[in-house]
Amino acid sequence: MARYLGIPVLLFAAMLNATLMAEFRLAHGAPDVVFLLVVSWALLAETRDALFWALVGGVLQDLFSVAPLGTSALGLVTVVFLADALFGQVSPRNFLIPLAVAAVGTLIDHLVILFTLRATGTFVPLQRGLLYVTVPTLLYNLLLILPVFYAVGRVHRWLTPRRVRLD
Amino acid sequence: MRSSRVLAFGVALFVTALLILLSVRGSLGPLEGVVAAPINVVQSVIGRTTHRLGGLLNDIADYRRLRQRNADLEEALAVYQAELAQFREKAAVYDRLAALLDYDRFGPEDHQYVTCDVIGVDTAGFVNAIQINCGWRDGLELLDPVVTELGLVGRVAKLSATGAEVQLLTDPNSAVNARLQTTREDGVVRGQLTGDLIMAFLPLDAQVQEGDLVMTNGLGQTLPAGLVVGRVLSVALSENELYQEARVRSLVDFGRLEIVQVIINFEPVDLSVFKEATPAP
Repeated sequence: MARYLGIPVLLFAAMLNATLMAEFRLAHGAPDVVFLLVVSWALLAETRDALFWALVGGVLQDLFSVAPLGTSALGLVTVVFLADALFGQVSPRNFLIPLAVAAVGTLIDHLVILFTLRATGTFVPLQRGLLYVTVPTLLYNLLLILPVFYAVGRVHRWLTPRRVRLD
Repeated sequence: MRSSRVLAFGVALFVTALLILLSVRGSLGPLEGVVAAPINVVQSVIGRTTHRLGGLLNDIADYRRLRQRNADLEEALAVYQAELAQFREKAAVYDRLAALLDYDRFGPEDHQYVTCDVIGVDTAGFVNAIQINCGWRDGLELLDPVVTELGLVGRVAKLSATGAEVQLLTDPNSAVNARLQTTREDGVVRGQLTGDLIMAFLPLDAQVQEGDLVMTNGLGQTLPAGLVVGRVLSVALSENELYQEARVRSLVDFGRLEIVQVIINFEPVDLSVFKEATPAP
């Protein structure tokens, strides 16, 4: 159920990225709500669920972009896989790992998007792209990851109640 | 367990790669159009609300500055009204002479516009584009020019039934043939990721002055001539010192676009036929 609950949530998040978050643009970077939700879910839920969220979130994000469909999904899937391989599932109280994943994950996500755009014929200057888009987005994501991770943690706990042995 | 993770990742990777491939080949266009139609409606509502909210907050913060600016603009308006009267006289003379010569060009009076709301910005930060709530049902076509009363905004880059993506003038992949209004020197205006515009390929001996107006020149027939692109901020030699480059500031505030107009009756000339007719060496 949690897997499919992600679809409307991520759709709303992608719409927020295209509308409200654009009002907070610093240079060309803005908070990436889809990324924050997907990364938080990746650290809390099972791999398959997290990859599903990454795929759906990325595709929905690309519906609001001139980038080819799947570009953002490729970045998010890569980040989720690496986060899962390195850290697996973490406690909702942990605050260091989400911060680290948000920082390194934003960089990896943007590098994947940059190279995919270049490979599909859209020219983006690498150095300027990283400076004007990645750095401000990274700062925003670092600022917002902990509240988002906490909120997603609450939802995850509500959706997947802990098993208790009855003696 | 580990192999199942790698397998899931492999499947996800395969699906994304397939999506990218199909999207680049244009096979997903109809599907994207169907999915985008209901989303555009909801996005219109959210986009309009956030625009208004953002505008209101900005206005409150800028109240004092806006009062001063209003006074300056009123003063400038009086000057421009006098200039406008002169230009109208000249335009009337031009129309009479053009009629005598039977000279018919695609001028601003011939443009047919469709007015659209801006409903969002591109979610990939590396691309400067906006979304509008007009699509092919409203008569839009790919590469149609998009303008405001202050000048050129960009061109339609992606289209669905009820919405479109507009590649902005400031996008690094945007290049527009343009001309300096005063000296009639031609160049190419390119977008920068920083939001600036650079007019390149200006001859070394060209007289370029700060404040010169830059307009589209219609070369290549990809855009109508005479659309305002911006004003020259500064000029410098290019890196290889083979031509001059001017920094241009658009009069359009791309961060605060709410309503745009699409010129729907401009038909670009297909120059590829000339290439085909050229015999191979």
